[in-house]
Amino acid sequence: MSVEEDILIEQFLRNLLSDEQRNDFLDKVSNDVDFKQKFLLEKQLFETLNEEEWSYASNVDPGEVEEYATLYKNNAERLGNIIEKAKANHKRKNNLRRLVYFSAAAAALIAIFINFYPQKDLSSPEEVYVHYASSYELPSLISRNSEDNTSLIAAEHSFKNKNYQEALNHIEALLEKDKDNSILYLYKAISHLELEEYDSSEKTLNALIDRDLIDSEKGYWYKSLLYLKANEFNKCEQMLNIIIENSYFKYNDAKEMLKDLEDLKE
Amino acid sequence: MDGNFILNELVKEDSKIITGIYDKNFPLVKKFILQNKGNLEDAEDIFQKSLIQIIIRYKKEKFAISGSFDAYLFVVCKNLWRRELNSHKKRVTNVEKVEVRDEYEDSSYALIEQKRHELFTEKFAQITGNCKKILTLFFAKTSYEEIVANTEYTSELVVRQRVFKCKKRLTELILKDKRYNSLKEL
Repeated sequence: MSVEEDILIEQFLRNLLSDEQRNDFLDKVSNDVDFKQKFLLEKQLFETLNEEEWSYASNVDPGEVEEYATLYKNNAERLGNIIEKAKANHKRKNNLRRLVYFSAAAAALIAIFINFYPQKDLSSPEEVYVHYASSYELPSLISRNSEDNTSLIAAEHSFKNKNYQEALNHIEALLEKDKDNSILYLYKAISHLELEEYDSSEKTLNALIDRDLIDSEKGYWYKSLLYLKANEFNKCEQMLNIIIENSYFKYNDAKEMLKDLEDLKE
Repeated sequence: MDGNFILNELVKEDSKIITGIYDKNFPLVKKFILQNKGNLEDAEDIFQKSLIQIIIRYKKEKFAISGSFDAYLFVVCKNLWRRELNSHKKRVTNVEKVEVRDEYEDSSYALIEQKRHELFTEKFAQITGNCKKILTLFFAKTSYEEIVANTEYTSELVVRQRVFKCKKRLTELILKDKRYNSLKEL
């Protein structure tokens, strides 16, 4: 390409030609195949290498266009559905991530709130006991697989209605048949505790601990409650320290309760 | 990770793999489109069209990519959005006649334009640093006066000569590549 042609093409693309020059230029494009090719390539370069523009194809190899169009026709809808599914998965994951983030933020706010506004103000051992024993968090005695569900229902029913003596009658009968049921030991120990039969409660919890069952470690927590209720604070603290040292059941509550008891001494 | 490994995984059309690609790449594409006059719906549409474009192209020519898959996908998305914005500009200003095509035909043209873009940018990367610098200013339609002011060239004439030589080198590289035959305007 000559320098003159190059300048002419550039002036056309920069919109620097008069109307007459422009018409002459377009005539030359229509009649001179070589010039047309040079112009089109330069136009494509201008449009491609300028980030603000885009080089559109308008008169390219029709066979190539048709081949792609057929592939689009045969696959685009199916691919669109697969990508839609991926998009839904992505959104679901994002929502979950957001939920976890906001839950963590909410938990942090609650923690700050609790620190600024303590929810408990325990001024006596009785209050400490009531605070920690307000819910014994005992699992239900009744299970689908139990053979003796009638007795279990009766035991639990009596316990919930605070008929502890009646509950004990059922539980003892049940324990005769099922000595490795740790939940029965807990119901029995708490029933004695509520009846202020502290020795019996202690014996029951010791029996639970000695049996070395999966839930035996729970015995320490209920022993700490027992000693607290019986005003045996040193023993209570001993139990709490065992729980903390061994990371037993109610480890966090034990730490908190120990601190509450220490606060009472001040 | 090799870009072609992910490309080969993508074309298996497994929604789990595509979810992974979505998780990793969509946030950046969304950010780009939102910063460039688009909205979330545009970003989702462009992302989907780009993935389909890559798969369709692979079905025809089993191409390979030289860098990372993420970078490649981003360029495809960016170019489709450039195309969309310029179509809108053309429709609004009515400077050029907008051809009416069906969706699949239009997507086919977009794919060919992407291939042409790749060829041109690949060849542009092969010319000298000085040529790249001066041609970048030239194609951005910077005036010769400004080019002289912002470069070490002493006069507009020198700049013209330099631009001419650099452009000649670039066009030679493009014309020599046989891929151009199926991409050129007839």
